[in-house]
Amino acid sequence: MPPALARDSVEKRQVSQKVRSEERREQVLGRMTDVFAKRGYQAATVDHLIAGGKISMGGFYKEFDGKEDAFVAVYDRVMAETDERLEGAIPVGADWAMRAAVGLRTVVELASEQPLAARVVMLEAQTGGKLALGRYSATLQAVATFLREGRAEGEASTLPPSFEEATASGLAWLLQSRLAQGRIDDPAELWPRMARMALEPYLGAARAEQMVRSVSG
Amino acid sequence: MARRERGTDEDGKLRRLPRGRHGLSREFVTRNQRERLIAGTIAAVAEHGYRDTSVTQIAAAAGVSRRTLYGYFKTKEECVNATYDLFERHLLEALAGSGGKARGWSAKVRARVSTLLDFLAANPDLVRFSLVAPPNAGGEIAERGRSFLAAMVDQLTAGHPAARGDADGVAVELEAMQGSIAAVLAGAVQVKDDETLADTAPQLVELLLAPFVGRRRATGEAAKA
Repeated sequence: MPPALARDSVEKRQVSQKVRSEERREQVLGRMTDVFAKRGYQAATVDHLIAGGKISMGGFYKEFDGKEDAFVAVYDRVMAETDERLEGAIPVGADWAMRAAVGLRTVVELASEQPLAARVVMLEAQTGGKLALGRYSATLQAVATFLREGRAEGEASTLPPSFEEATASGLAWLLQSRLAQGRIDDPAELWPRMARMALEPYLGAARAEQMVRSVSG
Repeated sequence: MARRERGTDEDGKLRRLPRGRHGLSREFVTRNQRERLIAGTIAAVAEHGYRDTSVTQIAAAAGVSRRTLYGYFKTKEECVNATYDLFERHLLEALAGSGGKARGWSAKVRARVSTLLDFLAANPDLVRFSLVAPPNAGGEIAERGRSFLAAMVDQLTAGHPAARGDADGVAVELEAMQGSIAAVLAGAVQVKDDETLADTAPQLVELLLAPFVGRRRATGEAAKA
């Protein structure tokens, strides 16, 4: 019998403790996401985070250096969840266009389901100090870099060098203006429009439309 | 070549008015001081961001005392709002007045973009003040930034032809275009080079035209910018 299966083995107990403390951390981060989203980064205090996160003062400072560190941890958790959703949604072996369309659909749906988490990464991150702003800029840049791969599709010979940065900001803007008002009410209408906008410069209108339709099904 | 605004010293800081009896009329001083405070607000916010800008920094950048500042504005927010209002009014007027002689809508848009970039190149801090700093401040200031941007894009595309495709789809495209325009201008002032803003003309024209005339035609028209 492998040791991991042995009853009350030391290793098993250590693993389960680690899992439990990770779960607890996840739960605290989830609750703190709501605190940051509802109060805003600037107005939120460590006291708010402790009360809303249901964690002791000692527990908080054991996990985090302070407010900014807690915010970055919240940001990273939301992005990790986003990555997981993307991995689950994008079919293995999907080409660039498919990944772009499914990716946009997934992100818009997730932002619509979890407006508070979306608010934290899309809006509050910009107000959350240097570290958080750095994270936000890196995320936007990653989107632009991904879009740039579309140039290999052949239609895009005349695009200016920073075309993708402008597109990424435009796509983000659509989510941001909705989240600033509250939430995204129309994910099923919004994502196909965003996908068409993102794909058309590289695929042309007809192929972009075809891809959006195939992902809508 | 370094451009120096009138009334500024080598660091671009506004010079103080001479103290005491300087033979300047009271009205002149009053107007001058209010304008200095506006200029000081732009400079201070562009350098420090909204949150980290204090009334003291605005007064220092304007070259007036804090007491003088409080004679005009009660709070930092009042400084910022007055600055936004003045900037928006002047910019929209300048845009409305440009492109009159241009034939065709695309040519008008090119003329307006050129006016916009001249306006901003005279003081790139205006871009930092109005488009870079607001999202980092959040709340009402961010909202003001969004409404400013929407008004600017409206004026840039005024008189546009009916857009192709369904109305909701075009509305979404136009909204995204605002975010793209802000990003292009913000990106240009991050580089410390006077030429960068002017270089964005073709990209801005293309972004402004595309929702109305399609990407292919927009690219062709942008090449003339």
